[in-house]
Amino acid sequence: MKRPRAPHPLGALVLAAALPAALLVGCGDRGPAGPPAEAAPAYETFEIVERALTELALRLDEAEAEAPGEPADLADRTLGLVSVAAGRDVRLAEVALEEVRELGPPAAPHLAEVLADEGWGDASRGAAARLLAALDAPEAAEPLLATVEGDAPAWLKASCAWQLGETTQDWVLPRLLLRLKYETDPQTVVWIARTLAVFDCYAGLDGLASLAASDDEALRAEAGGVLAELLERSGTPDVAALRTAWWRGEAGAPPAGAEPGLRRQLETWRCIAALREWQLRGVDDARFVLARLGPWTAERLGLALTDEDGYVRIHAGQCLERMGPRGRVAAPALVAALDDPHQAAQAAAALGSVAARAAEHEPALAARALAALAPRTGAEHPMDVRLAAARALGFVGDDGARPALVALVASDEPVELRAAAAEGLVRLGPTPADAPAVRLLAELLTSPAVDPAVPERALAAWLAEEPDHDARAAALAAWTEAGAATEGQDFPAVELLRERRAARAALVLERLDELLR
Amino acid sequence: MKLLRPLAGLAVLGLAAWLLVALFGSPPAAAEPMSFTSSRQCAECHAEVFAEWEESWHSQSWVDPEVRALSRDFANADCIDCHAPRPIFETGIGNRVLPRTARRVEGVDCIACHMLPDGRIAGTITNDAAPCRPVERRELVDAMFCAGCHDQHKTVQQWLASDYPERGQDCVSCHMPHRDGDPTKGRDHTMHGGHSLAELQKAVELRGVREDGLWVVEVENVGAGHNYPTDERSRASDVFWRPRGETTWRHLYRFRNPYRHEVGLEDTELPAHATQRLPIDDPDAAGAIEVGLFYKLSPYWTDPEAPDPDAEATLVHRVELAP
Repeated sequence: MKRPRAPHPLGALVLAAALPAALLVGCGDRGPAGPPAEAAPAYETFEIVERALTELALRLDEAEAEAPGEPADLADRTLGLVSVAAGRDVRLAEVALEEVRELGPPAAPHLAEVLADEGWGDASRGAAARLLAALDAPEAAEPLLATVEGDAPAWLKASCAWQLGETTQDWVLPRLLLRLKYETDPQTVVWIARTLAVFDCYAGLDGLASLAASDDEALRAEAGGVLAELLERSGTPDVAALRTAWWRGEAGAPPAGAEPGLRRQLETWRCIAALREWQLRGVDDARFVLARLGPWTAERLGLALTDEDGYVRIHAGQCLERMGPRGRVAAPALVAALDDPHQAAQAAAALGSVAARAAEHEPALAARALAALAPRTGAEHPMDVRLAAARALGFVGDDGARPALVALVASDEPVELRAAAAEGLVRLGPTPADAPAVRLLAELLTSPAVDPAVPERALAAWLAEEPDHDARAAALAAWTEAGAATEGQDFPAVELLRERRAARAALVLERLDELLR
Repeated sequence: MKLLRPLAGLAVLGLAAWLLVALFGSPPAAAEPMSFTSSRQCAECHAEVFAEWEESWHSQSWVDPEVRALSRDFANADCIDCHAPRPIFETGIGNRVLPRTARRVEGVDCIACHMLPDGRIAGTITNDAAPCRPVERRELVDAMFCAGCHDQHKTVQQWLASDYPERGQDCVSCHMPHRDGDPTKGRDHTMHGGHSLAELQKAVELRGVREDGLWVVEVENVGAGHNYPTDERSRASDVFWRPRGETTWRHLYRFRNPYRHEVGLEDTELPAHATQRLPIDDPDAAGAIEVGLFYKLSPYWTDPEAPDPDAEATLVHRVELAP
C-alpha cells in the first residue's frame, strides 16, 4: 500500500515562513469560506480532460483539410439529385447516390435544408436523408443526428437513425446514446439500437428485446428483425448470451490496439468534461452515456481518475462502477485511485464492479482486486472506504476475502460496516460458515439501522445460488411469495414493504440450518 | 466606617486577583476531539435540535418510501448525490454536492451540514471546550449553503430573480425561522417546506373573478420566495373545479416542472410574485362553482383519466364562487 509522502524539507521551510502570515490573515475579518483545504498530495493529479480536449481539437483541425471551393451550381445540382432520389425509379435513385458522393461534403448543407423543411414533403425529405448518409461525412451526419435528436415526425427520425448506421461516422455514438435515454418513439428506439450496435455498442439491447415482445405486430416484427441482426453480428445465440457478452466486454470489443476516429475521441472527452458541470442534469446525462460505452471509453475514464478536478475523478469512478466488467481495463487505475482520499470509497466500489465475478473468469484480476481491497477494510481507513471495500470484495468473488469479512461480521464495529461485510460474504457464495452473516442480514431487514433494501438484495442473491439445493429452492420460492403483495407496484405501501421484509426475515431465520446444510 | 475599610480592601484585592486569573490564567481545557460516525452522536448534547431534525424531511431523504419508489430503491444512483451528500463544507459552499458511501440511512443529516473538513463542527459560536469543538461559520445561514442541492432545480436562482433578496428574506427566514421568533433561541431545524400545509397556504392565494360571463380562476404566488411548486420534479399542484353540489372534480391546470424524460410537457411552475389566470370556458361553470388548489408530492394519479384529488392530494385552498 502506498503511504502518503513525507513533507519535503523545503516545504517545511516555506510552511515556517508562511505560518505567521497565515495567522495574521486568520485574525482578520472572516470572509466567505474558500474551498476546503486539500490534504497532503499523496495522489498526483493532472490536467487530463482539458489537455485531451485541446489536443484532439488541434489534431482534428489538422486532419480535416479545408474543403475545396463550392461550384456555383451546387445547390441546383444537389436539389436535382433529391428529386431523382425521391422518385420511384430505383436505378435512378442509385445513380443519384453515386453522383452525390462525387459532389462530396459541400452538398451536405443543401441536403440538410431539405431534411429540415416540412415544405419539401415526405419523399424528398426521406431522399435527403439517404443522400446525406451516402456522403458519409461529418457535415452530413450532423443534420441526420440533429433530426434524430429533434422533434421531426417519428418516421423521419427513425429513418435518420437507421441511415446513420449506414455510414462510418462513429462519432455520433455518444449523442445517439443520450437520445436513447429520452426517445419516446419506439420505432426510433429500434433504429437507434441498431446503429449503436453497428458502432460496437449494445446499450440498446434491452429496449430492443422489450420492443420485440410488443403487442404491436409491425413494431414486434421490426424490432425482432433488428434483434436477429444483432445476434448474428455479435455471434451470440440469444439475447441473454449477448447481454452477458456485452456486460463482460466481449461483444463489441474493437480489435486490440484499434483507436476510434478523432471525432469520436473528442465527443467522448466532451462527455467526460461534462462531469465537471454544476447542474446535475448534464452530469447525469454524461454518466448515462459514458457508462454505456465500451472498453475504449473505460480506458479514458481510467485516465480521468487522475484529473485535477475532483468532480471528474468521482464521476469517472461512478461511470466505471456502472459499466461493470466491460470497464475492467481501468482496474489498475482504480487500484491507484484507492490512494486518493477524495475518491477512495468510489474507487473501491468501482473496482468491485469492474472486477465482478473475476474470480470465475479472470483470476489474476480477482487476485489484484483482492490484494487492493482487503486491506482497505481495516480500522485505519475511513468508514466509507471500509464499507465500499467490504461490499466490493463480495462482488469480486475471491474466497481469499472470507477471513477479513468473517472477522468484521463478528466484530463490535458499527452495524453498517458489519452489514457491508455480511453482504460481501454472502455474495462469495454459500458455505456452512455463513450463519452469522446471514442471520445479521435477516435481522437487519426489519431494522432502521441500515437501508433494508441492501440486505434484501444480498439475501435474494444468496438464496438464488445453487438452484439444485432443495431447501434453498424452496426458500427462494417462499421468499418470492412473500413479495407477491408488492410485486409490480411502483409505490408499494410502507406497511406492505414492512410486512414483506418481516416475512422474509422470518423465513430465512427459521430455515437457516437447512439452508446452510 | 473603620470596620468597613479592611473589608473594602479585601474586596478590591479579591477583584484584582480574579481579574489577574481571568486575564492571564489558563483557558478552559480544550475538549478531546470527538470523531463523528453518526449524527445520533449529536443528540447527546443537542437533543432538541436533533428531535427537530428527526421530524424534518432532511432526515427522511434516504428512507422516505416515495423517494425510494421513485428512485427504485436508489437503483437510479443519480439521486444519491443530494439524498446522501458528503459534508457541504467538504465540497465547498455553493459547489455541487457529492454522494457519500457511509450512513446513507441518515440522509441529509447533522454531519452533512455542520462537519468541517478538519473534523470540527460549524456552528454559531466558537468553543474549544465543547466536545464537538464548534467553530463559528456564518455561511450556515447563507442561501448559497443550500444551493449545492436545492439549486439543482434552480430554486436559489428563482429566489435571486425575485425581490426577496432585496427584502433580506432568504432560505432560513422562512424554512429555519428562529424558535418562537427569538434569535437567542436558535433556529428551528424542522425545516418545513412543501410537506407543510401551513407553508403551502402561505405561499399561494386562490381566488376567482367574473369576466365576460366566465369565471377566471387566479392563483398568485404571494409568499414563496421561489417558484410554486419548486425544487423537485415530483411535486405538482393542480387546480380543480366543480359546479356547486357536484362531487366530482374537473381538472383545470397543473403547476409543475416535468422530469426531463417527459419531453412533451412544459415547465408551468408559478414564479415568485406571479399570477396565473385560468378562465373556465365551460357551460357547466355558468353558475356557482367550487374551486380547489391541491398539492401532490408525487406527480402521478392512480387513474390519470379520473384523478381523485381528495384521496391523492392535499387541499391547499378552496373557494366558492357565485355569480
